Parts: sequence; C-alpha cells; structure tokens
Amino acid sequence: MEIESSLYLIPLLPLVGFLVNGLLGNQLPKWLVAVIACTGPFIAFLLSVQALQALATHPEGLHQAMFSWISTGTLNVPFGLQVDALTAIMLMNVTGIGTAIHLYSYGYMHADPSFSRFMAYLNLFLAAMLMLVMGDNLLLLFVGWEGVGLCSYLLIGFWYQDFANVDAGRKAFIVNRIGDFAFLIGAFTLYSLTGTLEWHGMEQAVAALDLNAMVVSGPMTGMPIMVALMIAGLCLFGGATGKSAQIPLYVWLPDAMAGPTPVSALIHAATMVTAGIYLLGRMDFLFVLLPAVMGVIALVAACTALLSGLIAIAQNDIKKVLAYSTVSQLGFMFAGMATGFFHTGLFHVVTHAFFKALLFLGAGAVIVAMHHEQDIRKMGGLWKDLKGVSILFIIGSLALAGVPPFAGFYSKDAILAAVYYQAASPGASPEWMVIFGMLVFTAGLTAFYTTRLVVLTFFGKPADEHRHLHEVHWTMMAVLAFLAALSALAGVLGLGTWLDTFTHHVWSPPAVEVNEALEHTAHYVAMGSSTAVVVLGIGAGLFLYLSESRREALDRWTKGSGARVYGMASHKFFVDEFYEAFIVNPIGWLAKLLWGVVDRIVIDSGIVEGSALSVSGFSAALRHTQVGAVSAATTSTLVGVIVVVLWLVLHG
Amino acid sequence: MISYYLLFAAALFSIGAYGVLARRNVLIILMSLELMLNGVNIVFVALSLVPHGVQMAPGGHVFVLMVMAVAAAEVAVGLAIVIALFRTRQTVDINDLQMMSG
Repeated sequence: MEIESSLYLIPLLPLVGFLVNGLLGNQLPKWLVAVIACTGPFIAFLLSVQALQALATHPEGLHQAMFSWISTGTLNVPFGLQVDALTAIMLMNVTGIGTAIHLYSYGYMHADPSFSRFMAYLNLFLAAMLMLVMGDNLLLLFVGWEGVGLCSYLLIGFWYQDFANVDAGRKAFIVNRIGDFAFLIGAFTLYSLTGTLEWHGMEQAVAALDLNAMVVSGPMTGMPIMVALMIAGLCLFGGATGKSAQIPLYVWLPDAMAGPTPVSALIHAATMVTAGIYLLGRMDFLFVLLPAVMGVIALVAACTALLSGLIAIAQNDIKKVLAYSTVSQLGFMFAGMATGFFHTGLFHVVTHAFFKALLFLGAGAVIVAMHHEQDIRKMGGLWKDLKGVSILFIIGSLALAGVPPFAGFYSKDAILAAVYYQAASPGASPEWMVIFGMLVFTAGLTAFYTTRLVVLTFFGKPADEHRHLHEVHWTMMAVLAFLAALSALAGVLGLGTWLDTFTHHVWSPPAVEVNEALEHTAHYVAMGSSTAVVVLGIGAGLFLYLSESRREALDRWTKGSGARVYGMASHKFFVDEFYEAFIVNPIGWLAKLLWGVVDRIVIDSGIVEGSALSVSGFSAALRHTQVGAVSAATTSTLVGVIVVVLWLVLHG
Repeated sequence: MISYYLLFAAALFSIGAYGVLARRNVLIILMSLELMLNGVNIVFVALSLVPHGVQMAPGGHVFVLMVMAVAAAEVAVGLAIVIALFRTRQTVDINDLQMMSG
C-alpha cells in the first residue's frame, strides 16, 4: 500500500471508533468497546510508522490533497493532509502514547458505567489532534485546535454529576477560547499579508515580503510590514499560550486534573498541550524573522516555568503537582523554541510525553490502589506494597527531574544549552541571561518538588497502617513498563541527535551564523549547571522530607513563621483570585447589568412588550369612536371627504 | 352664467347631504341620497356646456346616464334591504339599528 495515498486513514480510523462507540457503545459488551477504541489508534500508529519510514525516501514530505474545502472569491482553502519530519515526530507521539493510554484506560475505567462514552471521547480527541498536526493549512490546523479544545471540555467534565468537574471543564473551554481569539486575529493578519493559508504558500509569501516596505492594501494599509508580522506572531503565540498553558492563560490546566487520570495523561501531558509548541514549530519561517517576538516568548516561557515550579512545591494533591510540573516543562519547551533551535523544543516535547504520561499513569495506578485518594500526605510508605508501580514511577520522576542518563536530562540540557548560546552570542540582548538563570533555577526546583513527591508518596511511614490496597490491572502495568523503558532509554540511545538530523531540513535556518566554539561552551555550561542544580534539588528534597523529625519541623515552619511565604505558593500566588476579582467578577457584573437593564427593561419590557402594549392601548382608545350609529359614520365620512377635497384644492 | 348652475347643484347636494346626516328614517335618507346624486348630475350637464377647445365636451352626458342607471340599481337594492329590515326589526329608524358599536 502506498502510504501517501492513505494518509487520510490516520485521522479517520479514530474518528470511526468515536462514531461506532459513541452511537452503539451502550449496546456493545465492554471488551468489544475497548477493542474498537484501541484498534483505530493502533492502526493509525502503524500507518504513522510507515509514513515516518517513507520520509527517508521523500525528504520533502508526503502530501495528500483530498478536495477543495472552501472556495469563495479569492479565498481558496484546500482540504489536504501532509506529513513532513515535524508532523511525523508529532504523529509518533500522538498515536504511540495515545494508543498506550487507550490501553491503560481499559484497566482504569472499565468499571465505570459510562465506559463507552469515555472511550468514544478519547478517540475523538485523538482524531482532532491528528487533524491538527496533519492539516496542510492554518485553517485545518484550527479545526483540530478547536476539536481538542472541545474534547478536553468533554473529558474534564466527564464525571458531570460533580459540579466542580463541570466547572473545571468550562474553565478550560473558556480560557482556551480566549487564546483562540488571539489565534484567529493572528491567522487573519497573516492571510491578509500573504493571501494564502497553506504552509508552503505562506512560507514562500512571507519569504518574498519586503520587510522594510509598508502594507499597501487591506485594513492595515500604511503599517510597516514588520509591525504587521509582529502582530501576527504575537497573536499566534497568544493562541499558543491558551492551548499550551503559558502565562497568562495557564490557569485552566491545573484545574483540568478534575478529569479521569488517563485524560490528564493524554490531554494534559502528551498531546493537547503540545499543540502550541507544534504551532510555533510549524510557523518557524515567521518567527525566525521576529527576534523581538522570540524574546517575548522566551521571557513569558521562563516566567511560566519559574512560577509554576514554585507553586508545585507547595501542592499536596499528587495530580496537581504533576499538573504544575507540566506547565513548568511547557515553559522549557517554549524557551527552546524561542531560541530558534526548534529541535530542542521538539525533543523536550517527545521526552516529556514519555515521562509525563508515565508519571500521570503511575499516579493513576497509585490513586486506584489508594481507593481514589489523591492527597500525598495521606499516602506514604507505598514502596512496600506497590513495588512495581513505585519503581516505574521513580524512573519517570528521575526523568522529570533531569537526572542523567534519563531522557529528561538530555532534552532539558539541549534547551538550556540553546538558551545559553543565545545569551552568550555577541550582541545578544541581556534578557537572555536572565532567562537562562530562571530556567536553571527552575530545573533545580523541578528536582526538588519531584523528590518531595516521591518521598512523601512512596517512603516514610504509612499514614494508615491498616489500609487495603486495590489491585492494579495488568494492562495498566504493561503500559507503565513500556513508557518507563522509553523514559529511561530515549536519551541514551541518541534520540536528540537523531531528531536534530531528521528534522534539520524542516526548520528555517536561524538568522545568526552557528559558532561551533560557543556551541561547545554552551553545552558544557548547560550540562554543568543543570547537573549541579539537580543534585542540589534532590539533595534538599531528601534532606527535608526523608527524615521524620525534619519534616515535622518543616510542617511547624509552614504553619508558623513561614506561613506567609508558604501560603503564597500553596495558594498558587493568588492568580486565580486575581483573575476572579479583576476579570471574572467585572464581566459577571457587566453581564448582570446587561441582563437586568438592557435585556429585562429595554428589550423585554420596552421593545417586545412595549410594542404589543402600545398597539392594544391605542386600539382600546380608538374603539370608543366606533359607536355603530349610521349618522356618525356618514358624518365622519363627509368630514373626511371635505378635508381631502380642501387639501387637494389648496395644495394640488 | 355657469356659476348659477353650479350654485344650484351645490345647494341641491348640500340639502341631500343634510338629509342623509340629519334624518332618521331610512326611506328619507335614500331620497336624500337621490338629491345628492342629482346635484352631481347637474354639475356634469352644466359643465358639458363649457366649450372645450373648439368643440363642446359631451362626455358629461354619458356620465349622467350612467349615474342614473347605477342610482336606479342602488335604489332597488336599498329598498329591498329596507323591506328586509322592516320585516325583522319592525322599524326603519336608524337610531334603533346601532348594533355595531365597538
């Protein structure tokens, strides 16, 4: 089978699974639902592998034009699928990790009465994500972009009987919509500059633009093209902050942990949140022209990484810690993208998908074993009872913390090296050194809170000596083992170097010439500093939390003299409260005002009821003239005739 | 010269109109209506005497014949209604026939 002509099967198969399970799932036995749900992603994975192999002989990429989607006047949008090196890597990620998570979901969710609905949503989510990475134009990407937003809403609020879950789902959807608005503005700006939405056409059109000229037509007439491109770049990045949980729109992701744990792993670690990174990588031809925008992205990313790292230290819900670490790691990815060495960000996307999926699914196994208890203070000592899960979870933690030789070390190191390279380049703006410092500090924080999480969960004294742990399903263990192998070995086996060479021709070359000596220095500086802070972080974590007496002293400190500092972090720096007070509430008041005054009084009472009332009132008054006397009728007729005749005589 | 005819016609029309408005007997009202119609007929005939260019304008005569025919038909229908009315209500006073008040 020629793979290029069957690319459409990759997103279609999960979609078919969604339709079958969504429409008929209630009537089918659960094992059949699971088989249908897992088969689609698995075949999609096999096809993705074929596509990846085919790229070796077609380095320019595979493309399948399907049909003309929108054709009105000058706007022509084709419906086509493409696979180049960037998409192929994302495909491996989405379908590979996706299939593993589908399998795990059978073990985790098979007792749930809405199991078939859950699997159907997962399939739809996967189909949307595949459309996102395979679409050959910006609008098709947006279809997938909205699709994953919808599915995250459906899956976060999956247990809709609990109002808190529904709220979290709504929050995710609305926050994402804010980002989508920025995305659309960016897309419109780009379209008005280039006149096309297809990747190749856009790349050529942007390359052909004279950056010193002015825009000659459209609503931006007279604006320098450079400024217009910066608006487009910033708006697209604004869209990415929504999907990929960066400041200021990261607040939805930690709340999204309300969904079932496999959802957290699938959406909020491995796939959906990487959509923003993918967008930056796909639009690389735009961003390499805009060093100022790249600086903004790197700064926002570093701030996000640092802020969420600090918050993660003070969280006690096992999934919340992981959620904030996801936000933090996404900051690393954006920083890597912003250096112009796009492969570093992509590398971290891949390794992060391995170990974060492992950590979330491991956390799911712990949660199942603890009968749906998520507070790490109530765990402790799980090592004795859950040896298998513990070992796998610790492998994931080491990878997250960035301990060599686990995968996370290599990718984080590559990003730090790229940032240092930027900072140390002659003529670099000084903010890059600050960014480098923030990221190194965050790497230390990551090691610290990961150690804290592991120690509190698996070591020490059990909070309850008489607990009976629930058995962990074998499909869950198998998936964990598979992901652990990837997390441990991906870096050692040279995934980073391979990714660099494999995707090299996709990226637009960075504006500066590569300085090899500086590259080496950057590499050593990054490796040295990151190893040092990781050792410090882990050491501090072990020192503070492994000993019972020190942990009690720490508890006293957080309740006593350190309550203010600790409270800031444990309350997430009051960002949610800030948004509540300054954005959500004013909008609520405005809505109440509009409802009470404009809707109730002006529209309902005034326009709708008012017009009806005025008609009936007028006719009630008019009715009295209708007395039924023939003489009155004839008199008024005659008066009317006289008036008309007089008017005609005088004015006619 | 022509204004005498017109003044006469106006007087006839006004007397008819007064009769229609002021009298209560339906038969009188029908007779007053005939007066109004004849007032109009006189205007037609009188005005057809006025030279229109070199020729006289005989069109007014045609209208008068037409009005007479229609008036005859109208009286036939009107009297039939009056008879039907009298048979059901035993009255021809229009002040007793105010059933259409709002």
